[in-house]
This record gives sequence, C-alpha cells and structure tokens, in this order.
Amino acid sequence: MASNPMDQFTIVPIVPLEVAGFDISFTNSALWMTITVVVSSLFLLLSIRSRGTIPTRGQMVAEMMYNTVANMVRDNVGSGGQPYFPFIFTLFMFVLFGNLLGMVPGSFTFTSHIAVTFAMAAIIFIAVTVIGIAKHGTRFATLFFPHGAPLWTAVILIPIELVSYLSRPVSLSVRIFANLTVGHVILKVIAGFVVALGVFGIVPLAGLVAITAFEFMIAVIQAYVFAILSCIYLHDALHLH
Amino acid sequence: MPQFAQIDTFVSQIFWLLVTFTILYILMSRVILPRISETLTNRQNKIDDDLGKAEELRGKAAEIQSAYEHALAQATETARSVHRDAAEAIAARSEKEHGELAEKLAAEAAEAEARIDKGKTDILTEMRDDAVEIVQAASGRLIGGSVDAASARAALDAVGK
Amino acid sequence: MPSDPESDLADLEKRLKAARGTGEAGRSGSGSGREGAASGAGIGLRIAVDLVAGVAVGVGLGLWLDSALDTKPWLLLVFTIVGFCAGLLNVVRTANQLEAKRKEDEAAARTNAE
Repeated sequence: MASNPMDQFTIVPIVPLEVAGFDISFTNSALWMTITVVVSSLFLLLSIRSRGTIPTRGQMVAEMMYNTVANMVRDNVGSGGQPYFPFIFTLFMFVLFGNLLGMVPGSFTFTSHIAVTFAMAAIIFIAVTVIGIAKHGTRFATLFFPHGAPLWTAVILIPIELVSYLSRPVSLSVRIFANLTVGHVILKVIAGFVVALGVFGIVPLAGLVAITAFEFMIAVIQAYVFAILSCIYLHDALHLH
Repeated sequence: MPQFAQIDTFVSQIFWLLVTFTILYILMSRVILPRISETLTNRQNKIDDDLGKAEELRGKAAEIQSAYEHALAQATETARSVHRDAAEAIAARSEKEHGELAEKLAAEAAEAEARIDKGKTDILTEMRDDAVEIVQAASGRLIGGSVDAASARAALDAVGK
Repeated sequence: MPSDPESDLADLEKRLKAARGTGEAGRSGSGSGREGAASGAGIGLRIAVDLVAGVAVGVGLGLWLDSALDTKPWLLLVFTIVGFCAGLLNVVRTANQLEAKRKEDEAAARTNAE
C-alpha cells in the first residue's frame, strides 16, 4: 500500500492491439473512458426515462446539467452558439464524469493525462480556428490586432496576440491536467499517512475527508471551466471579440 | 511521471479518446439531449398553458363578478323604484279617502245642524203656541174676558224681548 | 376568514403575474456563477498556468524557428520575451473575466436580495 503516489497514473494495457504499426491497445485509460461513456449515458437515460412533467430527483439533476450548459452556451457563445450546444454538453459530461469516476478508489483518471487533455484542447483549438476562418475569412486576422491601435504597434502586438492565441490549448490542457494530477497525488500521499500511522492516523484521516471533499469540488469546477473556456474561444471565433 | 514517461501510450490514449468521445457525442446529440429538451419544452408549454387557463378563468370570474354587481345594482334600483311607487300610490289613495271622508263628515254635520235647527224652531214654535194658550187661559181667568190669540201673541213677544 | 371575492381576484392576478415572472426568470437566470466557488488557490493556479503557457509557447516557437532558420539564439530570446508578454496578456484577460463574473454575481445577488 505504501506505493509510489505516481503509480496511480501508470497506463496498463488490458487488450494489446496494433493497427498499421500503431499501438492502440485497450488500456486502463480506455477502459475508464468507456465506463465514463456508459455511466454518464445511463445516468441521463435512467433519470429522464419517466419524462415526467413533475421531475423526479434524478431528472432534476439531469435537467440542471442541461440548463447549466445551455445557459453557459447562451451567455458565453452568444448568438449562433446553439448548433455547438451538443458538443459542449458532451465535452462537459465527458470531463465531469471522467473526473468524478476518477475519485472512485482504485480507479483511473484519464483526465489527469496530458495526452488526453491536450488532445481535447487541440481539437477544440483547431475546430474553433477553422470555424472562425470559415465564417470570417481573412477578417479572422483582426482577432490578433486590437481595433484602432496605431499601426506601428502591430510589430509588437501581433506576435504577442498570436502567441497568446497559440497558448490557449496549452493553458486549457495544462490547467485540468495539473489540477487533477496534484489533487490525486495529495490524496494518495495523505491516504498513505493514514495507513502508516495506524491508530494515530485519525488526524490525517480528517484531513483526507476534507481534501476528498475539496477534490470533488475541483472535479466539478475543472469540468465547468474546461467547457466554459471552450465556449469563450468559440465566441471569439464567431464574433471576433 | 507516467504522464510524460509513457509516450508510447499517447497514440492509444488519443485513439480511444476519439472513439469514446464520438460515441458519447452521438448518444447525446441523437438520443439524450432531444429527450431532455422535449421534456423541458413540454413542461414549459404545460406551465404556459396552465397559466393561460388560469388567466382566462380569472378573466371570466372578473366578468361574472362585474355582471353580478351590475345585476345587484339594477335590482336595488328596481326595488327602490317599486317602493317609491307604492308609497306614492298609498299616499294618493289615503289623501283621496281622507278628502271623501271629510266631505261626508261635513255633509253629515251640516245635515245634523239643519236638523237641530229645525227641531229647535219646532220646539220654540210649540212652546210659543203653548204659551199663547197659557196666556189666553190665564187672562181669561184673571180678567174674565177672552183674549184673542193674536194679541196674546203680541203680548208674549213684547215680554219675551 | 370570510373571503372577499374582489380581493381574492386581485390576489389571484398578482400570483399569476408572479408565476409568469418566475417562469421567465427561471429560463434566463440560474446557471453560471458556479465558478465563484473556485478558491483563491484555484484562481492562483489558473493564473500561473496562463502565464506559464504563454512563456512555454514562446520558448517553443523560439527554439523551433531558431533551428529552422539557424538564428540561434536570437529568436529564442525574442520569443521568450514575446511569450512572457503573451502570458501577462492571458493573465490580464483571465483577471478581467473573473472580475466581470464577480461583478455579475454581485449584481445578481443584489437583485435577488431585493
């Protein structure tokens, strides 16, 4: 039990698989992605199965999630954001359930892997850039130069804006990766203390309970932030600030 | 850190991310979200409908109330006018009856007066006749002669004055 | 309590208006603002990430362009500075966003209190 707190992030192949020279083994990471899809879908399907006019408790949670994301899209993307609602909702649910299921002892948190979070951020970044160029053409470039600034400042401002724009997927992916990795390491270390101290482990146990509650909050907040920043990037692409 | 050490797993991670995310996206956009939005729309419609109905019923109730108030006011007015008419009719009749009665009473009084007058006159005449007879008789005894009725009467009149 | 039909109707009208009002408020308000639950540490980490991401992209671009154009180490130097500026810009934007959100939440709290 006194294992390295980093061991929980190790990826273990379950079904080795290789296609065209690429290793696409079904791993513990893929397993928990699959579980996330199944659990989040089943949760929503079961809680809304009655489709009652007067909602049941589960239905209220499902509708609250729907309304939260719907409001998020409306408030942050603005007009023309409706077509992207299913994508943002899927993104939110995928990250949220991935984070929450990662809190199950002995599970695997795929959102604590930079490869996964960066892939998601990169897809959003590329999609948003493509949408912006498709909608505005060359006018999309005005995103990198503040309207009305003196022309000579372009030499300085455009590289800065460009780097800032390019840093979006980095900060988006690093933020969630760092939060979840740090959270899980702290949990593991303190759990180690509890086990090592035995009877005297009561003090770190209280801390463990508090930090577990805090990590649940982080799990929800990070999913929310990931989704809301995607909305803000989408807004910039659709409306150019 | 396995996140950076296990670079050989990146392809697998990204591959399964795309697979699972795509499946979830299809499930969400085709099945789950339409159901939730349908439920929410139905509920909103039901609420709007119920509120509309309540509004309509409230309007009807207000209408009924105003109709009721109108009818009540009308009934009050009718009752008042009936009351007034009746009072007037009664007053008129009682005045008329009063007048008739007074007339009748006056006539009766006049008749009674006449009757009393006549009675009085008759009695006086009778008394006078009696007095004349008494005078005649008395004078016959006193003076021994007879006195005619006319002079007796004259004498009486002179005394009676 | 004997009910007076007139005041009952006025009361019903008020309640109907209120029901319509909450219906609309329920559709527009709520949601968002959950981010306010983020603790100071959360905001600190977020701002640190914003700054580091800018620098990282700048350094990465500098290294790549230097090796491609054989201008070592000048573009690395330039883009590290540019990256730092971009990081600061990210921080300012995040701070503005959080500030706007805070004000919005405060305004919402005030209208709710009234």
